[in-house]
Amino acid sequence: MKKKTLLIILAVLVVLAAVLAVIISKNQPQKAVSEVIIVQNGKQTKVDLGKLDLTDVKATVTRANGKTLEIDAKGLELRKLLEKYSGYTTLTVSAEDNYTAEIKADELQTEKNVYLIIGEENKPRLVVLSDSNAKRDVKNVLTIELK
Amino acid sequence: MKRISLKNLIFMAVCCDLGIIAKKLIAPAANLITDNLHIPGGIGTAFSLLFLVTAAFIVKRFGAGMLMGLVQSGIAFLLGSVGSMGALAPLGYLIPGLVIDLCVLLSGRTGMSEDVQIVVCCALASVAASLTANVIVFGLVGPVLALYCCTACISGIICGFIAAFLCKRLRPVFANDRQNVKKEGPET
Repeated sequence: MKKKTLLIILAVLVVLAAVLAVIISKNQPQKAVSEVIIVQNGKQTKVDLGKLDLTDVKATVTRANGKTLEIDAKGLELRKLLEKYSGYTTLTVSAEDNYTAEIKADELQTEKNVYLIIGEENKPRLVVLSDSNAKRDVKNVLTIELK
Repeated sequence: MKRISLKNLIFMAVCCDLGIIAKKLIAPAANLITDNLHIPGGIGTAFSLLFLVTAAFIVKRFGAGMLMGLVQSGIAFLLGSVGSMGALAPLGYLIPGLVIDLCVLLSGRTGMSEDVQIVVCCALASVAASLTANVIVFGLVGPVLALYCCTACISGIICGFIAAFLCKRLRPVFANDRQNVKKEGPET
């Protein structure tokens, strides 16, 4: 293999990446900045957090590196947002960059634990206060899928 | 098994540090690209691995890659930059290290020029790191996973060219070192 072959492979990969990016972008659900899309049995419902009755959320979460992060934002408990939904055992919260976090329905029942807050640039953000590593801290939440 | 000289060990340690720093420095720019591609990463790691590949191809000892991976994971823990992998972070550093070691081990048998070997090694290590992160944290599937691996491979190839350039520039320094060691006595 020569350097020229590597450059050709690089060019092919760039083209492939561009095609994949277009495909993914087209399949990505469209929504307003402060909206989240709730999906159950294939049915999508858009909810605008900015139009809901939000409360002050003040808490301290511990990140994976042991450092703490102070949260002071407007938001609401996820269980309140999902009050009218039933028949699910887990929910998958996906970010715009396809990072996902899974939450069991039981965890939602614990009071003051799972929040959806208005994060940076008015984008929805998931915060699970009981987590010791902030692994389920999902920024730019796009969808909440109920399974 | 031959011991690694003190000079090489120091060089490897410096490369571990440079890898961690490079990843942190490139992160904001990398995030800007990956956010627009709707993938959770895949670029920054190659910039970290380019220094490990450079050191591994200079030192040319099996195990050097994994050793540097282990050191990097230790540094990442101490600096608190383990990301979403948490306690499994060492795996995310050790597996690319193993891939680098295997590439160094097989490099003599491929018939490729060293520059190409380095580029291929960096690309494979970058993809291995991304797949490890995917298994441990992201769980991506389908086109998103394909794009994630594609991006990792592209950044791996680009960083591989940088690593090849660095190897070319640094090799005379270490070649002189080997001659000096032969004249002065056994390696440390």
